[in-house]
Amino acid sequence: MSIKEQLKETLGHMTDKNQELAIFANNAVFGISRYKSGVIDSRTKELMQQGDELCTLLRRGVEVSREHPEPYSLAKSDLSSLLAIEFLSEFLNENKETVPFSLDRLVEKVGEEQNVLEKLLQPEFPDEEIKRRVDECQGFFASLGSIFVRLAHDGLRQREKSERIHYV
Amino acid sequence: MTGCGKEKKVSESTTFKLTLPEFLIVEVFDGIARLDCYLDQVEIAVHPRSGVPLRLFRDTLSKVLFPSLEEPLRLVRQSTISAVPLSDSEFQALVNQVDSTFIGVAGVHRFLKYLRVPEPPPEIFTLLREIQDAFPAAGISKHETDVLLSETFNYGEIDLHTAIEWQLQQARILKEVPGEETIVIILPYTQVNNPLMWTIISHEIGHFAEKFHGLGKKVLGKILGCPCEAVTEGTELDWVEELISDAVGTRLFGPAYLFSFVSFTILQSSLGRPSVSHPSELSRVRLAFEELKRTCLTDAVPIAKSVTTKIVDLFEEKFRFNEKYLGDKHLGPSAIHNASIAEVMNLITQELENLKMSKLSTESLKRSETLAHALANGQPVSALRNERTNLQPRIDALRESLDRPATDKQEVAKAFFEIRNCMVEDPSTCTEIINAGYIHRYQQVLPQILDGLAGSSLAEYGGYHKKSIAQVDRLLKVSLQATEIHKLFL
Repeated sequence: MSIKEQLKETLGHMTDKNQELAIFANNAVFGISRYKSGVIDSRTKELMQQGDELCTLLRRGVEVSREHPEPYSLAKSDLSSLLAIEFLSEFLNENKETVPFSLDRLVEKVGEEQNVLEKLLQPEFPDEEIKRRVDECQGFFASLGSIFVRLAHDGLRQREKSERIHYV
Repeated sequence: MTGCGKEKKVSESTTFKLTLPEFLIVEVFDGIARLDCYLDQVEIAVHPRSGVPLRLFRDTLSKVLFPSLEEPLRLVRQSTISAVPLSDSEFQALVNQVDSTFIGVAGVHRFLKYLRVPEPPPEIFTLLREIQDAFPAAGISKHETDVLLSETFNYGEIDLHTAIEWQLQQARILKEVPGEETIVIILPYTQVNNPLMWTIISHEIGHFAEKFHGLGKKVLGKILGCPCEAVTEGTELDWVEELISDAVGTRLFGPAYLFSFVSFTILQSSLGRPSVSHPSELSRVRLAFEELKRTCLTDAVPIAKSVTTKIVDLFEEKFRFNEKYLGDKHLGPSAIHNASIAEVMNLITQELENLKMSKLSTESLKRSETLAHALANGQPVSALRNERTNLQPRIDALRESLDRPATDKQEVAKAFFEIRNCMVEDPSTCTEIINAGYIHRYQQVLPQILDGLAGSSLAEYGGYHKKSIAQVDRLLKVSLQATEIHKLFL
């Protein structure tokens, strides 16, 4: 078993972490939804900010992953990033036919959508180009949300596995 | 006791018209409030020793879990007010968020093991007895059973004897452990007072019955066209065993089994995907629905029929969501699918018929519809009065015939007993009570949550809803208890 796999086992298949990431992705969708309906307050910004943080975490994960470091030597935040991208990568490989993007495209999208969010978070109104891309950005975060919820749910069921209990 | 259908006409319309987002929100909201109810119960039972951890749990509910539904609720309201449907990504995020909150509830539930545990209420054992007694010739009713509560937010069954023996064999400590099979039912802590979810016990007893009689191998042998001795352990056998246990639940509890199954699984992200041990939840719901339509869910029970159809529609819609966004395919690579659903169900039904297992009738569901009406009026539903058509003219006729000199005594006795029988109240069965509870839940309780949330904050209304949960639980438990006493007098 690789060190990364051992880490995943130790972290209970990252149920809690994946759930947190799902919430971040969902909140980005809720934030954009508020923005689109004209509610631009601190709550809207807080929600969108979480989408921005998720993007940063995933981008860092890709960076760390490409460097192939020894996972045990990583700082906690880097480890979170690395494992998040590991889980996503596995999921995308296993579900190539159904998920609308590959890992490479995901990395690209993360950069693009973070850019959209950053523009929306600025006090001045975004330009036409950004306005045009808001729906796509919202759809991207909704897709990420679905994937992270699925990963969290799989972790939950994995944690419940017991040799001799028949669950419903 | 409550009056018969003729005296209090049950409305044939259903008020259960929630959309999928609304249904998911109220289901998970109800789940959080129920968690809070459990904390209240712990507090009453063990106070003051659990004071500090209880506060921690309550803070998690009020500051994390309830608020996690704020944005989904806002979207639903906005869509209702503006009459504009949610966009695809809003709908997707809403469903994701509700699923995620469910995972949060399950996560918090895991830590309940660090609190003291109250005893399961005695009414669970009344229900358990009724389920075991449904197997008259099977020897199932003779087995000792127990109910344990677990931190895992799931329902299960374990043969404790086999499990311990297996564990000791693995550790090379003992080859055999004295004693015999012992059925232990496992319920999540927070459902211990919810009679509606106790129906899942029937699935768990189904597992025991299926092992006891080797039904899984018999059925799979017929599907695969081989003798049952040649059937090997594995996914296909596991799946057939699950389908048999579902068939036991459906046969005993009718729609109530399907409702409890949906209530537990619709909030989960994987409902459209089979696993190595279980068929997809969608396949299981479809099978149960087909079986209900074939047996008890007829036009004679319009409320039960419309509510069940609506619930199955919501489940199908949730599956389409998973199919669209996660590519779920509900049929896995299994030889079971080479046989038609009807054929598999026929084989299972035949085996259950051979056990002379009792089953829910349309007549019982009619009674449940009437009982639900009483439940909505805050009355216990332990018994149902027989129909008293033309009672007064019949009594007058009897009086007249008694006054006549040449009256046939046998005729008088017949008329007397007919009148007496219609004065008797028939005790309800646990199954009827629980089906009534579900009709009440879908017609009244869930729509009320949505209305209530329109006027208050989530955490605030959570406190109010807890009272409603406690009241319905109490009514159902009192009904289960009273029906048991009632049966003793008949």
